[in-house]
Amino acid sequence: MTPMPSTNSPAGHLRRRGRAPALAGVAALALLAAGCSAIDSGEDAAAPAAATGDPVRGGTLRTFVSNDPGSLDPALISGYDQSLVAANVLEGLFRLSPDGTGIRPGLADRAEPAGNTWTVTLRDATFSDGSPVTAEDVKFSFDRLVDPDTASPRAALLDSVAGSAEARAGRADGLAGVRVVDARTLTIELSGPDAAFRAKLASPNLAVVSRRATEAAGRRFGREVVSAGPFTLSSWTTGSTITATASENYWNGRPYLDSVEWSVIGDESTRMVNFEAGTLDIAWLPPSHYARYANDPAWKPYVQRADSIHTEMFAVNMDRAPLGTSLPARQAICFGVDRDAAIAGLQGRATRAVSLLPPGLGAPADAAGGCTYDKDRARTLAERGGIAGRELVLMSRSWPSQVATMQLYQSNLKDAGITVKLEPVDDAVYAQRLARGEFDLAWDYRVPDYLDRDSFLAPLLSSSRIGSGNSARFDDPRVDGELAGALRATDGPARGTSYSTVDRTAADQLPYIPLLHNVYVDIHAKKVRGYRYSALDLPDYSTVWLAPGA
Amino acid sequence: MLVRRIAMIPVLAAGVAVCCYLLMFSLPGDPARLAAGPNASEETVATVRAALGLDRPLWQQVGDYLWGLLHGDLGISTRSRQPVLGEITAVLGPTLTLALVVEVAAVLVGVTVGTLAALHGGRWVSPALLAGSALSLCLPLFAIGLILQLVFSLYLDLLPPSGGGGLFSTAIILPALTCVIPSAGFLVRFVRTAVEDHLADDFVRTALAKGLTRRSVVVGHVLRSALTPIIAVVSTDLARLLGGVALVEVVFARPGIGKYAFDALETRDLPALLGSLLVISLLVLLVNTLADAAYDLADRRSAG
Repeated sequence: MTPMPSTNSPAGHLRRRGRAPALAGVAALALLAAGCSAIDSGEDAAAPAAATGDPVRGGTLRTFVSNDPGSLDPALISGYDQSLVAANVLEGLFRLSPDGTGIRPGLADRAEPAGNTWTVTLRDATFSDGSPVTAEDVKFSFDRLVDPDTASPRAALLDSVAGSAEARAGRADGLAGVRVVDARTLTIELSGPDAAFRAKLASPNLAVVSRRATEAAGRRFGREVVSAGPFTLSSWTTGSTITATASENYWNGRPYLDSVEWSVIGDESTRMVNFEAGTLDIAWLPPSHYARYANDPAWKPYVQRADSIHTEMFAVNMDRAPLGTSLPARQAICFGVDRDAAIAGLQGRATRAVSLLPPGLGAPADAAGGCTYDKDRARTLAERGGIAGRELVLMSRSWPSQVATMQLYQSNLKDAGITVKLEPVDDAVYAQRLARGEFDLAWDYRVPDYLDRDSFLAPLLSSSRIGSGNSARFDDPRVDGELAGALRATDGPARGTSYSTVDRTAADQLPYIPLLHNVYVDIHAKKVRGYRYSALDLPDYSTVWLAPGA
Repeated sequence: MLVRRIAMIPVLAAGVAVCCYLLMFSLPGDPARLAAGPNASEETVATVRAALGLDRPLWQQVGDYLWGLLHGDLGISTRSRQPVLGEITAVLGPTLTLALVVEVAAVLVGVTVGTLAALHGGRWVSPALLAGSALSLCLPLFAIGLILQLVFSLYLDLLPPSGGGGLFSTAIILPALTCVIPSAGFLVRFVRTAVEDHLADDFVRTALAKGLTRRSVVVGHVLRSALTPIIAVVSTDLARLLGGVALVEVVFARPGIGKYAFDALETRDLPALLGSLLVISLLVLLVNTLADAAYDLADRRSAG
């Protein structure tokens, strides 16, 4: 295997990415910002490192997105393809480490909380147009996110900032809690403790853009973005290609690559043909090609697998009987699905989920166990729970691979005497029915919007998020209290205890039935070096270089 | 007649716009929820809904849309928040280029091979050509595309497997060939039958008896007589291609209005979907109008 670069992350991580459906919702950044105060020393955050030989400058990395991202307006980023490009073009106060497991400083030279007020000192950085990044630009970017005219789907990221409610309602002109002290300093006053705030600041939605350039771009903003990331958007052909060139004045040094070209290739067969023809340097490895490459000694080192920060689950509608009102019925479903068979069907590209939290996001150690497939036990529980002989509706998306896995579960449950009617629906119908609770049982998944357990558990389990993340419509005041307490806690271990309690409660009550954690798999060309695999499947190309002649 | 048809285009377009708009509202799913994301609060969804103008009464939305159309405004994409007109303009170029290249090639191949098949009926050439054309019609477009990619990009390494190149780019060859194969296959069968029918006509015997060569009879009389039905087939095929061949666009990662419309449907990007349906409808109306003009011309020529 090509050794991974390792200057700034211990032991050169081998987290990996690969195939992913439209993981709407990934945004991303930073790891369990437990107590979160001082920034990692990390000047080397994006310092490229040699894999084999010395890194060289030059060349274009040819990679892909599945769909045209449409816009790189930070306030509008909510889809996976947008995040893929944004991770390389936008820059916020913080950014995700290249392997996707840690927070690194971005434009913030220092950012320290004192009570509920953060004082942020900007480093001497410039936008891609050469103008300096100022505190005024940061405030403009944050104000813009919460402006009702922007209609950002991620405005809630700044809900803990003082004055957010007024700004979001249009009753105030910007966030009262964000104040410019001087050109390089600003303060951010929170309305209460927010232990996840540092992780939120690393979200691409809070990337800093040039006020002057944004206002000048008008309606074109989104296609024309002036930020301070390692690469700068240089061309965008709708539905075809997006090209970004290396920013000569990137604060952490110019990337090795001259440019990155994302081709819009939605079909996985086409991606593989392009990879094999040498016109694509990186591709997700679909199941139909996996064995051929993984078993080929010449290619095996370039096939990468990584546990993802992602959980697939069944959401149980807790408002509907009998599943929602009967714990034995939910346990019957939990014990009645053969996760190992599903994993085998996915060629090992997943691991069993025993907890809602994935291992990469601090799954509690005592979560080991979960439901092991046992159809006799499931049958007994189904009879006790009153679902034996009754038909349950399982809603899923209509993606062929997902339908195949759902059919396997359907067959498992039938063996346990549980009749499940599968209803695959398109994405729009799925989202609407999930939000309205129009299902008995639904396939669901979670990836974090920012890399903190709060972003994983609160949307799923907080009663305030019923219909907007809490698709199970789970309502438990004790869990609400633990989640709120964890967000207020400045003490890392105390947060850990709260989240363990929440995770254990979810495992006991089963509003969600954990199924799998994805393992991402992809392959890259032999000449690609310094490529780190992001647990969020959001590769950072600022450390990548192309080996001549490889 | 032609002028009246051209004058009707705006009226038909307005009708199409209203029908499409109402049709959009019968689609299941909430565009605002989809645009806001699964974890957005009801408050956020409401903000997005208002920003997209979806909170107004239906009649007002239809009225505003038609008013916008009059001013050349197709609205703002809910997904990209960019003007739909600009996005459609960007994807329409590749669609028009591909459609015209395919149709010109299909006509050249279809008419030539179909005529040869008719003239050489009974020999081995004709059954072979007809078998080939039948096969081309049976194969799904995506299968043809994948086979061509494997052969010309992977095994022979001659052509790029995908890309959005223009008329003079090698990236257009494989998607064009993929579309030409079934289009030409159908024309071969059609032209063969039309030519064979006319070969038995009295005017052909008369022309041959007057001493004209077989070639000049076929080109000057038979094909001219067969022109009208050929125009009908070609215009129908061209209209289909202008509607976008989404599968070909997907297989060759080529931008085009078919894929744009499909993506808009999936994401319930109503302005983008409406805009693309409207533009496709206009193109079909335009092709039909041109076909009518061509019929008149062909009739006059064959009569003359």
